[in-house]
Amino acid sequence: MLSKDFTQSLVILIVATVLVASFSIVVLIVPNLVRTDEIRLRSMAIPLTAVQVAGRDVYISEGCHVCHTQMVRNIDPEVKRDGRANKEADDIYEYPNLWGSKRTGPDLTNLGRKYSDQWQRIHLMNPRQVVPTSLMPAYPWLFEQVLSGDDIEDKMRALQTLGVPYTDSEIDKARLAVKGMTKGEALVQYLQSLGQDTAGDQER
Amino acid sequence: MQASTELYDVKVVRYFIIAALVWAVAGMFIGVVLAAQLYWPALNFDSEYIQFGRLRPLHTSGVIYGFVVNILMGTSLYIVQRTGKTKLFNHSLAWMVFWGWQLILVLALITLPLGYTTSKEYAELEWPIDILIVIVWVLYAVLFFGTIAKRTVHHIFVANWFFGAFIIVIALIFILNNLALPAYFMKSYSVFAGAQDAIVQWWWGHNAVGFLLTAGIIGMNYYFIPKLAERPIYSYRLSIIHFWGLVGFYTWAGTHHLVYSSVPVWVQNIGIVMSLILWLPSWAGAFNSAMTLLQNKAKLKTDYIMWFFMSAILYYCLATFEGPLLAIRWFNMLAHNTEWIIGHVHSAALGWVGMSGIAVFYYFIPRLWGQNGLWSQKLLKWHFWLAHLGVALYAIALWVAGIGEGYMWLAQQENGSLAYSFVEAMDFKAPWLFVRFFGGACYVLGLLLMVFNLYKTVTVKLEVNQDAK
Repeated sequence: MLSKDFTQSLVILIVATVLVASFSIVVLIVPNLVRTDEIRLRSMAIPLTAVQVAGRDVYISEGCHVCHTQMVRNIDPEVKRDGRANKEADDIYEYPNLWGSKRTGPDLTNLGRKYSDQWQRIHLMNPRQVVPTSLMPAYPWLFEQVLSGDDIEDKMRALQTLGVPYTDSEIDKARLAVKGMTKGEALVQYLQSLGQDTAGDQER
Repeated sequence: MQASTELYDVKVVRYFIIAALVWAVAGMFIGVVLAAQLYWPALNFDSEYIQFGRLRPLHTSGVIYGFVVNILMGTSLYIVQRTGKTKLFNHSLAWMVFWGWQLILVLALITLPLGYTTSKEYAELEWPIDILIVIVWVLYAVLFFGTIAKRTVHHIFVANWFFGAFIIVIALIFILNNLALPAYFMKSYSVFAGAQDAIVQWWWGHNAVGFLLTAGIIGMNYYFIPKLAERPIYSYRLSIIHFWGLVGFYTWAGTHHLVYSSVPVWVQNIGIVMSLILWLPSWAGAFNSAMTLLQNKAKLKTDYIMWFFMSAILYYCLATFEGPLLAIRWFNMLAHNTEWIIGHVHSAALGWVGMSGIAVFYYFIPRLWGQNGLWSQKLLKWHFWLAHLGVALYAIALWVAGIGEGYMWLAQQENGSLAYSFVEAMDFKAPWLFVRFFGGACYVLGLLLMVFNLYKTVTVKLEVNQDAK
């Protein structure tokens, strides 16, 4: 068999392709995946509350990340526009990351408390009421659909397993905190939390 | 053809090709709707299900998993039989792969508008569907490699190396990127967080482009271009360089999506350097394919299917030049997150993948149904020019929009304050988003002409044949 090459032997073709293609996993991916503890030591991140977790899942479900980034690059004009640049340790509880890849709307990394809750509500109901040329869809149903809170404990337990330091009592109280809220209210609470944990950090 | 249907499994190939055609039209039509929504936001209709954020993953999944995977499964299962001079490894397995994959696509069509998504780009489907994808993919791998194993010729044909790499690498990266902890049915969280998750995500994202939209399509073309040109592949040595160059360098390039982000700088730099290196094997492969077509100049003068292939290769050259360019820090600073990136993706997706697919549809479908020519050469010509008009308008519009908004985001006045607000940049690009919509619409109109032409080809000529009998 060794006298053959990949053009004659199926085994060699498969093994060689796997080896060559996975070289990048060893060099690029694995060294970053094993650094979790080291990254966490430097982090100022604060876990989201139950309501904010529910709001974040509304953000994911509606596909907000399709048009909004949550990644301020460390470039002077971008920091002026969108606030403090992201650091590696900021997003340790971001399962999954919501950095996005397209800025059809503005970056939201440091959105929290930039606008009032009332502004956020009006904007979500009909963006063109506050930004006349906005391209954003209107999301009126978010303020009609009510969260039951039935799934929030399962969500928080999964996040706890992955490494978000929720206490059991926080998880026990989660359902009552979320129950009865509209999706929109939860989403606004999430949006208002963005960038708050790192707001005090001025170092670049 | 009559004889070959008994020698080879062709029926399942026909099904795959028709599925690919249906998803090509559907997926790209949704793209045109999205483009319209970005110009007329009222077209979101205040509807939960078809608003931009939920419709966009359906467009990308429909095109990637519907159109491209179906055409690659169909052509690979055909080519592996013809070049190995053997039937498929297992007949029922082929049908399980076909129906399994269509089930996955229907589930995507239902769950994405309902808001079930992992948020991971090009991997939005939730965990139960992911498990189904892995199962069907493994069956497909067994079927494909099993058929290579029972080939009756000594040599493994070039196209099959590329299909093999496509199957193996997609399996590898799909599984790693989709590792997630289910919270409950249809809801899971990625096991990776933040910067680590982003590295895995773009390692996947870029390789999905590299192995699905590039290696797979190259495999398909390495069979159909020589067939259509009636000439052998120009250089065997170049195809070997092309193959190992792609497999060797592509998987490293993904982190160019994270330049200036908060991932470690060395990770960004590897992505940049490897992207630049990738330019070389890409153009070597393009040269090889172009020379294969050019060996039959007489046919190239008159045959618009040859022109579709030639155009696809030229767009491949453009995209594989623009890609490394965009990975360079200075260009990346300007272009990141802008419309330019969308334009870049589409000059590759519509120009390279789309036109390769169109050429294969035109060449392959009549032959699969036992016909030799097309119903209308005139419609083919119309399609050719509509497709070109569409891609050109699309690319130019988004170059202007993307470079414009990228510049406006970064521009500062002398005192260091920002020169433009975000809304000003948005208003600047609005007319160009209309041009993009128009370009996309031309492209889809061309597809509809093709569907009509192929339908006539298959049905009308059948009637003629029956009359002759």
